[in-house]
Amino acid sequence: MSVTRTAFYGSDADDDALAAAFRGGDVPVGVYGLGKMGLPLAAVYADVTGNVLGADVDETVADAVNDGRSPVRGEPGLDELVADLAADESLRASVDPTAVAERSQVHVVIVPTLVDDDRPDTSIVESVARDIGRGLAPGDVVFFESTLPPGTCLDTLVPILENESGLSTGEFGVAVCPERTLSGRALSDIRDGHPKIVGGVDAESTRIAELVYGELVAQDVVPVSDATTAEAVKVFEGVYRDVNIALANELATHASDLGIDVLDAIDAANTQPYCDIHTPGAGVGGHCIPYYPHFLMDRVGDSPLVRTARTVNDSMPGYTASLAHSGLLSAGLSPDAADVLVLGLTYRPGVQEIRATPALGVVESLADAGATVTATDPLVTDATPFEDAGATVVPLSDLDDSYDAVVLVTYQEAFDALDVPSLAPDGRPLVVVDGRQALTELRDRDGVLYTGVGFDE
Amino acid sequence: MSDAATTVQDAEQTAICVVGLGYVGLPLALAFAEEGVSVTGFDVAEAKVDALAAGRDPTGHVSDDGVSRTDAEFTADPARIRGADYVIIAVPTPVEGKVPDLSYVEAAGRTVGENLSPGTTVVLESTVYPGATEEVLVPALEAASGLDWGDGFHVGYAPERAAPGETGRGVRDVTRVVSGDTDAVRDELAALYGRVVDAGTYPAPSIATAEAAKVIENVQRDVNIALVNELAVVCDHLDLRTEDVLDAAGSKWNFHDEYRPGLVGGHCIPVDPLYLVHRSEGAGFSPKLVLQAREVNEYMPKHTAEVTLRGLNDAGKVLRDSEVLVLGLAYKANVGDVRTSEVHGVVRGLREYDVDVTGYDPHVPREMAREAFDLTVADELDLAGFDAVVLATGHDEFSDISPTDLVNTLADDPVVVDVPGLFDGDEMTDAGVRYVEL
Repeated sequence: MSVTRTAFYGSDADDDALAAAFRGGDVPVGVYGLGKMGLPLAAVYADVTGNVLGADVDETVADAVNDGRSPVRGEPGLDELVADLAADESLRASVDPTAVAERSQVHVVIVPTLVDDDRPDTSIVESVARDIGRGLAPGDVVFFESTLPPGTCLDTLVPILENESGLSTGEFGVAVCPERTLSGRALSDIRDGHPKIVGGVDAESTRIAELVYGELVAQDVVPVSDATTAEAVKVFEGVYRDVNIALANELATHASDLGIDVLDAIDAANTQPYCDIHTPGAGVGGHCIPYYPHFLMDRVGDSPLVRTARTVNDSMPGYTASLAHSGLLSAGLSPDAADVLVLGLTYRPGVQEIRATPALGVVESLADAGATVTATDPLVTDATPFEDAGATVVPLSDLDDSYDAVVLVTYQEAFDALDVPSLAPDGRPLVVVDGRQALTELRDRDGVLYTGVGFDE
Repeated sequence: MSDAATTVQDAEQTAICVVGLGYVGLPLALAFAEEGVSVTGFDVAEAKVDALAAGRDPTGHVSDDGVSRTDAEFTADPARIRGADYVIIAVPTPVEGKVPDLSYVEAAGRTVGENLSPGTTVVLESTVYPGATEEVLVPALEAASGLDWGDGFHVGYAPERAAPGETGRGVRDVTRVVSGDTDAVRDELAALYGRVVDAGTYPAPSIATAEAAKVIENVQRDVNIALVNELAVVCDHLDLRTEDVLDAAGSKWNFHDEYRPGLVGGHCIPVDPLYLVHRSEGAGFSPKLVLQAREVNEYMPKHTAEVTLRGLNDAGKVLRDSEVLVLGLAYKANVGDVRTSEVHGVVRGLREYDVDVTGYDPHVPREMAREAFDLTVADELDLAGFDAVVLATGHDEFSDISPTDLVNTLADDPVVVDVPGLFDGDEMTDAGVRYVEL
């Protein structure tokens, strides 16, 4: 710690000088959390500054990064970038966050915020804030990229930073700069995606955040009034998605009552320029959309529309399973003695993530109804939750022709090669439940009883 | 149908009759006439028809000039419906309580049926629940005409997408969804509407699909306005400015930032969800989210009143001695229609606490406003002496009101409640106004 640092937050230097110092690597950067969002962000910081030390609790992650291997899969360009950055030591990793904090002047937090029993769980980000606080020096800035319940930064994180560091706001800067990236395209989203929202706890924090991200990303950097506004922006985006998907889902469950393919009505309605009804499906998963409504409701008590939307989306896996149930009945098969195959277990195509995946609810509902459930997904690395729910998880190559029903929850590319009708024994009808409008070509196929979310039976 | 198809290609020989000359039917009749189609406009309101025939527009939806120049003919004589190739029905479909009121559609169906030439195609444009064209209009036509649906006449459904008071959203500007009882009828209607709709037509696979499409596009609007209304309440809790959050969130492609908090009045957005609910509940299914959205939006007038009362309290005013000016009484900006205005609820909420309420609306005739709201109505914008201003409807005329005007003319420590978010909050606060955005 004998290195003399150029003051950053509260510096008298002009913007150009600060930007040059940042780009030139004179401002050491610490990135906390090297997960699927954190590692790409750390890599972009390292690419620009050449001076990033990342922190992760997982030793295998830190070791991999130091060896130039990206532990994150499915992010185009990341493997090469991590290899290059590790080679010239632009990017290194450590399992000791306090050590990272002590040598860094810009602290970037990108760890998960979760929901436990419908309550936001910000314990990880709080713990990181404690670590940073212990190494925090005057002139440092802390950027929170994690999604936070609005008010968390000011009410919880800033006091932690102050307590641990013995400093007061005004001596260091804090800004909320929520990530707006999608897994599978993290690098391009970080570098040139949606405008970057930054909101500081004071004007100087906002200024530094604008300056840093101005150097880092090609898209506009949009300063907002304060940290809480920035937190709310991110949460509102997720809530907007959840409510609009819920609307599409609620309409989709009407298809048979109305005697129409609701998907057709949605297409027709969306020819109105202001109309943007989303696509219905078997459910909403992942670590974002299902969680953010709780970030909101927890802060303000009830939020009835947001709560109702959550209920609707939560009901979709059960609804999808019920389509299999009624399909089996109309095929003359007994649902409690049926062999049902669930296709696609990750929360969306092309990713490994299974957090909050609707496939789990589908498996549970089918197994509860007594069906023998087989599940397959070439991308899933952890089959335990599905096995615990009663499914036998098999590789794609092990599928045979023993199934009475196929329920498609998440369409993976590998399913292109699958001949779905042949999954039933010869001469027996196959019930197909299409949760993603992905098997519509089977609708009028002989030997297939097709139903799907949003389709009239 | 081949005869009819031929006539569509030759506009001069096509005769249409538009039944119902309101904000939907009248612009449509004029647009078809402009394209050389022979148009008869029918309405049961004789006074309206007389005015139109004399070259005046009593509806305010087109213009005197447009009406006097048109080749369309206007009549209150139902016999003139006879002989049209296409009869287009554009009548109101309100709700009675919470139940769809299709009595105008039925009545129009009877009138048209009594004057229906064999081979005619009858097109409904009114918003209805999915299934209503076949369940309500067709029986009325059959009973009155003695003709059989399919052999004697055809039906189609081509929902209107009119947006009163908004430019660039007229009959020519917005894609028209068309549907018919056969594919041939649908194709004919696509060709017919293609003459007047520059944005093109969108053929729907069935009449029920087109009916559902119309209802759900307003359902999604209602739900999204409810969402921003609910988020506005959240922002209030968190002491954030809603506008700031929505603006920033709107910078992401999948967040539509065109929705702003406000009162949801009018003939469409608050009504259409009830049509869907009615149809779904008939089938034993209750759309929770749609109903919850309605509830949130129906609460907003009361919320507006409560916010105003709170402001007056904070300013140390005695409520029963307070005078409040409500600016804008119509259901939306730059229109004069008060029938479905949610401002009623605001006035009611204020009066519960004996607040003295005065209204002003440059788009609404004073007598009409006084009658509709049972209210003292000012005949010009005069802010003098009021303790609070509730800007309920954001007519363009109000955007000129400056913070200085308000501070200088209103009573001391004035409260301004800005429902549509028309004013600049910082300027208002700096000038010493107790400014509340919804």
